[in-house]
Amino acid sequence: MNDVLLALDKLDYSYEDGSFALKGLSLAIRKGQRIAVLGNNGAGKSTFFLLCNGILKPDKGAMSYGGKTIDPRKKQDLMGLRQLVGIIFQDADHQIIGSTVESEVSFGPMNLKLPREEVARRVDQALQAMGLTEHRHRPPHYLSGGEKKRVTIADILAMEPEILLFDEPTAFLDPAGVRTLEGLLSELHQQERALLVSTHDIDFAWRWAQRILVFHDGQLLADSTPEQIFADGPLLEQAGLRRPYLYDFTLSLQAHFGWPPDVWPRTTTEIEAYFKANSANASSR
Amino acid sequence: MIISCLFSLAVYCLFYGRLPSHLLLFVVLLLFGGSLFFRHKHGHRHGGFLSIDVQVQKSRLKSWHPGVKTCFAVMAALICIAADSFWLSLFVICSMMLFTIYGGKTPAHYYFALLTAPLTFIILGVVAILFEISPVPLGLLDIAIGGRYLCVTAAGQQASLSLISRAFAAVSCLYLLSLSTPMHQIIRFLRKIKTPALMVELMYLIYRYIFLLLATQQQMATAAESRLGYRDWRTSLRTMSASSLNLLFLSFRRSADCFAAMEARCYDGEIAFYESEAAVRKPEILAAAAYLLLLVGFWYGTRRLQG
Repeated sequence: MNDVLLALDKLDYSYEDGSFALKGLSLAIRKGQRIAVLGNNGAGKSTFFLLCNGILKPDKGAMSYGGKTIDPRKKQDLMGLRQLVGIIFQDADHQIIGSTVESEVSFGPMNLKLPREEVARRVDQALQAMGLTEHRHRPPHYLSGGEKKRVTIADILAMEPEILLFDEPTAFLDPAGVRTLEGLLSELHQQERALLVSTHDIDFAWRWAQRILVFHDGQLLADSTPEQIFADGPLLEQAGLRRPYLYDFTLSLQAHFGWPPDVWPRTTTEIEAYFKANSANASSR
Repeated sequence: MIISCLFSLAVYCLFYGRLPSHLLLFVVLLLFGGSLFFRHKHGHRHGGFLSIDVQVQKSRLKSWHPGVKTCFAVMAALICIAADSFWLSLFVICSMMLFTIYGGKTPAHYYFALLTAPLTFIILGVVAILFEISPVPLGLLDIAIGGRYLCVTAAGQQASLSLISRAFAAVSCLYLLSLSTPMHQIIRFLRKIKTPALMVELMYLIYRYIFLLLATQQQMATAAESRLGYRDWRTSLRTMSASSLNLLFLSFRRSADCFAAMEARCYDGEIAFYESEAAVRKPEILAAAAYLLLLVGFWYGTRRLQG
């Protein structure tokens, strides 16, 4: 169990008027996990992210990080939590504050009160990882949408967090930007790091995620593997979700082409590979 | 149109009696026609102040050290204000214009369009000084209004001329700075010379969020225009009041969102950035110092002449 990073135990959070935004939220985020967070607008996804990072303080419940209890009302705990759990906000314009790419990325590390050389090293590294080195002296508000998104990811990478929360990262991106982002997401996936992506793109969730959280009406309805989530018709109905196209396609493959019932391809390439391998087997026989 | 009229009228009153009247009339008409033609050709454009930032990025003077440019511009402006000499100010106005347009390659029409904003303020301010109301005619130019006279006196002309030239010179110095130096460099320099943190941070945040506000306002205006929101004067007023109110609400929401994003990155009350250092180059300092010395020399020279 020592690979648990953030654990939430029965968290409640309510708005100022007393209505619940999140109720009885319990879950654990482990190292190396790729988690998609699904749910309608207003289901509680953003509230969940803001609670993970300590921007919102739970009314009730307990939080722990790496086995140590965290009290988000204590400043020291809070700063530690915010360093370890980074949020990449939906609208890059809300997040970007620096007037050059370089100074923008340095904002987080500077707030961590690191020495200047260390800040410089982290900024260099984050810019390199996001392919932004050549833009470092440019003002971020003149970059393209995709570039801005990469700046906001570099912002968080420079703080060297263990959990990255992406709040609807594809919302302001064009198809090329989305493709780049998916590439970056697989690059960012490492053994020591957990990635959470809230999204409305169900096909993306199917392609990418190992685990899916479904929020509805302030509650965590389901927390399971994609295969189990999308097999659960009533759950999808209740949460207002649909099945991924590739999932439906696999169902018809199973019904009409003798596709094995336990193989769930995540991409068309996997289907292709399966057929190639099988026809090779058939011809060798 | 109004600015052109005002401008020409002010120039006429300022130089009345100082230049031969037919020459003056010719100059004024030329100015009036020129400014009308200019406005017609380069008409008013939306988001003019937004594009300052774009122009700055293209400026050839951008690579100069911000400290040198800031000191240069501020010192030149201070010398003009202290010297109070029409010819010195004129020299500074012309040279700053040349530096910006030829040195920095800022488009001339853009530069002049940008100048109309402060120019309007300066002229409106000067009108109060230029004219005096008196029961008897006492000046060069007396306009009778209901038993009293609106007079332009030589002393008034002198005072206005000195005010206009100094204000204009100072503006052109600051334009050299702001059209060649990205805002963040100026702010960083201010921080370096220990300007109070509150001021620098306020400046920074205002600069940062003015873009968001302007962009939001522009989007709302476009959306309103597409629904005939500005079809006539009354509708425009109504649309404007509604969209201002909306802008206020949106700004509140945005500021909350932005603050959350800052907090998420461990913001705890102090804004600090890291930026790689730019080196100061010797030729820049020498050139700036030479120009400033020239100004001081000019100042002493004119004082000797007058004294």
